[in-house]
Amino acid sequence: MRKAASVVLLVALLAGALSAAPAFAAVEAPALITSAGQSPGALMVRVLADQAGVANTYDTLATADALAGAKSLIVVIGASQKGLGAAGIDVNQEYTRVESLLAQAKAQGIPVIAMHVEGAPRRGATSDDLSRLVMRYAQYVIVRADGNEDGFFTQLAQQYGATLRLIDKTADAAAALRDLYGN
Amino acid sequence: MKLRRPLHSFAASLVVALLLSVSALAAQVETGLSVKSQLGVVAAAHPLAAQAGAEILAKGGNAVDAAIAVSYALAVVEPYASSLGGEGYMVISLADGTDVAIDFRSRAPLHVNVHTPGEIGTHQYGIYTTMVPGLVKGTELALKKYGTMTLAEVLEPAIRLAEEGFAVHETYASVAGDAYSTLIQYPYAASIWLDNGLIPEVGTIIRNPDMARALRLIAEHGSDVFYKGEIAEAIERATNGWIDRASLAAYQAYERPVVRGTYRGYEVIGAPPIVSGLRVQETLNILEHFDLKSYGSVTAPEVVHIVSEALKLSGADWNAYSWDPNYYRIPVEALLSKQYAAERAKLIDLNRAQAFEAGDPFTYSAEVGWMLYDTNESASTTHFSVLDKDGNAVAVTQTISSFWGSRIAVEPYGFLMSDHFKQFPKFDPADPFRPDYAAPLKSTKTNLSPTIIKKDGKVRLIAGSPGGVRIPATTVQFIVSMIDFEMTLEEAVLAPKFYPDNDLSLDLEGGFPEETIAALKALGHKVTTRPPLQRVFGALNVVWVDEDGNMWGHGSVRRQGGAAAPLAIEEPAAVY
Repeated sequence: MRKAASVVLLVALLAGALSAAPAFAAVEAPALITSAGQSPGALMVRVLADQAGVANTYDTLATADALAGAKSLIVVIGASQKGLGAAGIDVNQEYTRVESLLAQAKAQGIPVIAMHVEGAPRRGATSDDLSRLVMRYAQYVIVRADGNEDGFFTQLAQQYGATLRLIDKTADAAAALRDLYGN
Repeated sequence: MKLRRPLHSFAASLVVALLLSVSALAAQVETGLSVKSQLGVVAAAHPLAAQAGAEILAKGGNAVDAAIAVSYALAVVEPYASSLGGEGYMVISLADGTDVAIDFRSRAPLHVNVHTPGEIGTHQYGIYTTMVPGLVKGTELALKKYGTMTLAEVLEPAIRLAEEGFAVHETYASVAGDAYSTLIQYPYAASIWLDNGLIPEVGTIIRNPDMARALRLIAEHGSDVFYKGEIAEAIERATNGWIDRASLAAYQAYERPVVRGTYRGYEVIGAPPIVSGLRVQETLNILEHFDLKSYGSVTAPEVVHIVSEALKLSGADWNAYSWDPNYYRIPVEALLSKQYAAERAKLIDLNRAQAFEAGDPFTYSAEVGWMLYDTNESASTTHFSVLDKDGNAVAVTQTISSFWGSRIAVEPYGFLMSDHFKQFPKFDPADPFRPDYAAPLKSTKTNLSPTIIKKDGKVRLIAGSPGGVRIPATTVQFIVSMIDFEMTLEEAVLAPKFYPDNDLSLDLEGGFPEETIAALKALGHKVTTRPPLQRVFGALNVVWVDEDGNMWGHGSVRRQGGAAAPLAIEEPAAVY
């Protein structure tokens, strides 16, 4: 009886481990890193990806062609009027570009990682609109916790079945990426 | 003028207390967004810098001593706007009646000529944007002539801040975020002012032991170590010879006569060309011809319209006639004359917005003037104000041009070089005599407007702001708010600001009534609106003295500034 109970417990633990493990060790590099909103967050994620040893290409204005050779797509959400202005585009053009890129990734079976690493200061109507778009396609989500105090990303992750990982500081995203890519 | 303690001063004091937690106080001072004192007061773009000045006042230093402490402290805690590699303009008004300006503007290196900007190509940042810095020489000149303490004494707070560190606040994080994509391309700068390659989060501690080393060298050896010694060698290396040792050794700061005028019975003391005290005074002279107070509010459309038109008139003259006084004679007397202002005031039409051309001030002077000039629009630069218990006053506006300047940090001394050189235009053979072409040791034109206002011989107001081309507009609006509308210091700082340009555009900060906006549009102004309290409209760090002699300091709410005052003045040690 005790032996049977141990086996059940072991199976349960294994099942639990297996159900969690694929969530964060299942993505392959190289990653295409792009922005959704042109804030500095995308560049910070590139720095963090380099620190995490995740091979990547970085293109804040990537279009579907840039997915060639990529095995994963990281979309860093954060709307910046200054960034959009510097890029010479408006919010509608940005939304269209990102949506097209995400649709192509889905068509090619490329997993999408949504990241929001600039916290509460980078929330707002435009950022949230872009978040809703990206979350429709994302399998994995990495969010700085102070940007999720209202549960916005938790709710979207549940709605779309994405695996959410909250981090305390932007720098912690390096460890999250390391886990995600199995480095 | 009414005075009251701001409602939000308690909350601001709490924030300041948190900010101060890293750095122990060496002297007892009070710090907040707004402070009141009878022992002297300092207002600056960072509470820790204001505190550094108050600490010097508490130790018995005068306003000049304190101002230099603030200048260097800002280089540590506001590195995006101040640096040993930067420059500025200082206006000093001493209680003994001495009024003087210190010109420590940056200057072009010796090897350049009018063709250099065209030969090096266009550079937004980097080596070819750097200039020979003036801050170290200028502050030394002011201290030796008008201060009472040694360099080592006034640099001590800055050295402590650089070694112990300070906490990043929202403004720092925001400004670093704006410049992140370029700052990260300069590894030494990024290693000091970013956080392991990332935009520092609020609360991150920034330490700069390299700058502390530079400050200790300057404290020990004076400016020679910076312009002729090992720091000069490091500057030459960091700029790949662009700022060479010969140019550094040739640098001079200058004492210059102040620009002097009046406004509604107050005496106005400002900085002379190549900066903008002249423009502030001409604007005020024009405004004297209008009863602004009769319109009821500083946000009334008539007031915004008249002040806008006056600023455009003075701006046209400033563009045409104000150049580097080391190279050109400027018709200062004419542009300051009340008669000329009266003629200019007649051009203002109360029923429509206009564009204006430069006037003809030469009826009032025989000096020579020149041509048109464009400048950039940046919220960078910084201003601070100091008043000591004896009534000595100092107004300083200092800058590294853009936020984070050239991005070139001088290794291993932890300071940034400014990026003023890019303001020199490329030579145009069709226009060979422009006064703003590059030349050895020449300065670019800027809008710095440090201003001291007195009444009956006593200092009443110390004003100034960063904000690029918006500096004179913000400074004039503040003066009008205080003198015409008798606002409290807090109200005048918080009042929404505006910036008019000669293409009839009128940029309004949030806070103007809808009726005002509609009326201004009806007058023909091309109105744009922004949210309230925007950094681009400057950052007033100001001092006011009320009728009872109480000294009030107020830090900018647009850039998380602060004010500080000594709680007591240390008695000098007895000498036997």
